[in-house]
Amino acid sequence: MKLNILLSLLFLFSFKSISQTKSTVIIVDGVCMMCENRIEKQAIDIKGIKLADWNLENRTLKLVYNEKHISINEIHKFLASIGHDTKKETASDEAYALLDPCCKYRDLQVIRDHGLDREPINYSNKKE
Amino acid sequence: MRLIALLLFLSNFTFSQDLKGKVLELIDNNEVPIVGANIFWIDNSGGTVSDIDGNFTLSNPNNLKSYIVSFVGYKNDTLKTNSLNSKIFLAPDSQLDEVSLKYNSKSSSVSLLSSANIINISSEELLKAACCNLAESFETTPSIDVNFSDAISGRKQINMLGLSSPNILMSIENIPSIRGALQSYGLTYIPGTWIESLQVAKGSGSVVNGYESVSGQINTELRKPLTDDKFFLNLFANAMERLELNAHHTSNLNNKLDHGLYFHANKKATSADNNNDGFRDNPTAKQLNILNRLQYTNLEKGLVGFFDFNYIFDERVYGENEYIDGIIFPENQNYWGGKTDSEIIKTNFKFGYVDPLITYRSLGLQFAYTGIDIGSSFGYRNHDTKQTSIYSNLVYNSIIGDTRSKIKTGISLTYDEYDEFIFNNNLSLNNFDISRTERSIGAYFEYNYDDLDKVNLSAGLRFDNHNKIGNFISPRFHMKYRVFPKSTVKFSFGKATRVANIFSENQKLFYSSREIIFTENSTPTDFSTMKADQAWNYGLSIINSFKLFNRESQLILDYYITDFQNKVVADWETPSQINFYNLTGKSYSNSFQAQLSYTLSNSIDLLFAYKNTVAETDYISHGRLKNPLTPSDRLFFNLSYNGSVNKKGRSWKYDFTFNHIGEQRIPSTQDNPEQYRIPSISEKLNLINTQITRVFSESFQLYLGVENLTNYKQENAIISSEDPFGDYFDATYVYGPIFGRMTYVGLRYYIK
Repeated sequence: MKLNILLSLLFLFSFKSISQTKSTVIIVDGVCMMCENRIEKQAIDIKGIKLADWNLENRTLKLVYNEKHISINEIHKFLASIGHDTKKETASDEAYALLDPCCKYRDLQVIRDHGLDREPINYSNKKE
Repeated sequence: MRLIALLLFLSNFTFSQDLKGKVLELIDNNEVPIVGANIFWIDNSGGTVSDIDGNFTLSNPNNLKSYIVSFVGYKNDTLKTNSLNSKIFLAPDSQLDEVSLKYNSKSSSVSLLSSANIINISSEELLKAACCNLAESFETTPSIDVNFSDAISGRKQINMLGLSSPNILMSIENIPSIRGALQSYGLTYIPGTWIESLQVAKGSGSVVNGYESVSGQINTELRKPLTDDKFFLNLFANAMERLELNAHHTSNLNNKLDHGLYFHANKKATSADNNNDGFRDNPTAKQLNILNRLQYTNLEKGLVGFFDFNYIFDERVYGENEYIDGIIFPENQNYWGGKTDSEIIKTNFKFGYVDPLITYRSLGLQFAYTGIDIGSSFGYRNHDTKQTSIYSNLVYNSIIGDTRSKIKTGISLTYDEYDEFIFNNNLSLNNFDISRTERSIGAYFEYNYDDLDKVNLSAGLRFDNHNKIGNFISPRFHMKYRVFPKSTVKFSFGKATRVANIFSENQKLFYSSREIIFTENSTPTDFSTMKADQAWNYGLSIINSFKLFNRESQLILDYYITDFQNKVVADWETPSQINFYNLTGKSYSNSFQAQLSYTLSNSIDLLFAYKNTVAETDYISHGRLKNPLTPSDRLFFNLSYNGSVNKKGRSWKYDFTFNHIGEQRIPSTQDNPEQYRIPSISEKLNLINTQITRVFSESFQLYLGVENLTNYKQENAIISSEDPFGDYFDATYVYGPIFGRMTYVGLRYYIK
């Protein structure tokens, strides 16, 4: 534990804005490597986002961001704006339509074609 | 587990109700919510994610009874809806945070993503040439040449970009390891079965591991107790009566600590003389090699560590068939021979901290202590080395702005103390005391930029202070550019500095009567006037992936230039002498390689390669000559068959490797009496190795292989073998196999 404090101090020493740096994991829908590339590349381009790592298997997007520049709600909105549903924000049909045919993660057939056995994250919402 | 849960679901009919719960983990007995955990029904019919407080609500329209909670880095949990407790505690998974994707990956591959030209060789690839240690692990890798160093020691050496292994920075888990006194036999102290994977970086490499890599870096990852099989046994025997035993055992001491014990022993009690030159083809030998590993993994706190202890004892006896080891007064020995005894103790300590939330920040510390004691005799000559080495490296990783810009920075130090002597029982030859202490301390900084698309570049600079060389800098630059979706260009340049360990690196000189002479401006001097080797390396590589007849293939074209500013030239051009002097003029090696890999079918992979090397050095009084015993051309072909597994879990594996090795220049023997002269150009060689493996189950395999199937034997590998104490005795003119075909068998047994 002492060692941990020591190491944290070391990091604090080199990063003064550490208190503003937040780490979280959110769910973002997608089906393929192309989705991964789009989500990660577009997200990292946003000022304030320091790390964006999306996992195809469980659709988690690991984020490290600076709250001074961007809020988590804004990140959700941004991801929806590039066509990817999150648990909080659903992408507009126009934004979704712009995705490559291979990335149509709401389409069960496309999901199957990628060898995945799952449903879109907002499937239950859609049915209601 | 899933099946049981499914049965539960089938046998159940209750009313629909929303499922509510909270996902937590215990850290120091505090309940900490897990955000973003996946909660989904056992039949995957629907799911949700835990919120910022770990809470979740899941509707249950199908009246399901079981659901799964999962989160990356944690063990999945299958739960029932009627559970009274709505708090769900997830336990961290002992596996590291990595996604394992199963696909048909090549066992040897070139990375398209990294800026450096790195070939990754997996343990699967290493099984293709089952014998025996690191030196022989590269038989199926065309970028590296493996050959015998001399006709007596049975030792194999490796070359990359036309330059011998001392020019390659050899590290074990990123700690520079095969250096100093271990330049002679170090490759044979890493048993093949201990190796998890190898990374071969062509060109100057990264600044993080030091200033020494002239032509490249080879990193060996050993098997790790956390991820390794519980038990492994390998037995091996070859037709020359060499026996090997490898046994690994790993155990989980507690949820943070894993232990691994790796044991290797080999023995060769007899030695034949198949080429009838009066000398043993191979030494009689025995080796005992024990590695004890402790691995600490604490993912919650982001701490990882290793503590390794390695003990090696190795003994080999070589020389004439009638030579008997152990005669107290070697000058009374009527037969030429000798013995090398090595005892090595290695201790490594490694510690890493990764910020669990902000994973791009990490700190690593490596510390290694090595004690080496090697005593060798060669006829009347003896070479004794004791080396004590300390290495430490502290590296800090972080980013600038976001993860597209990464930085690595740190400090490292090395300390090497050598007690090294060459002494003769015969007073007519010189004795040498080359005991010395070498110390260096350095700081480095490396910047890496990856635009996640076309460009990946890394620029590094290190500054070192060395007690023999003074201050010097080592710049390194690597860049990748993806020109077209499937075409990538890589470019690199860098500078390396290295203090040569003259006798360990040129140990084969002791298998001759050559007199050792140091000169400076053609006047005799001693070893202390020898300067450090310094070289620039420039490389260009083009990687093209494409479909050929609808199958994946990859074409790689490389061109590398290594240009020495200085080097300690080992001049073998005068028979009965070896002259060492600082380079005057030029020494360079230009190496071209074209490599085509092709997937013929789901089970057959082909690899073709052609290599052309122009390596030349300016010698005093001989002018510019090609580097000796360096083939200018090499053709390589490998076929690898990996059969499908049948219902009983059985399969076949087959591997075939063909090598054509072009002409090599042999140092001149024209000044010798006529019976001691050999041609100045070697024969062209065609060599075949092949191996077949029968997999009986996941836990048992048998293999049978043949090395040098065409039974090639180099004639007259030892000059003046009938008069080994005479002036012309020389066993260093080796350009090919010295003994013929060799068959081997072995078994592997695993408990997962």
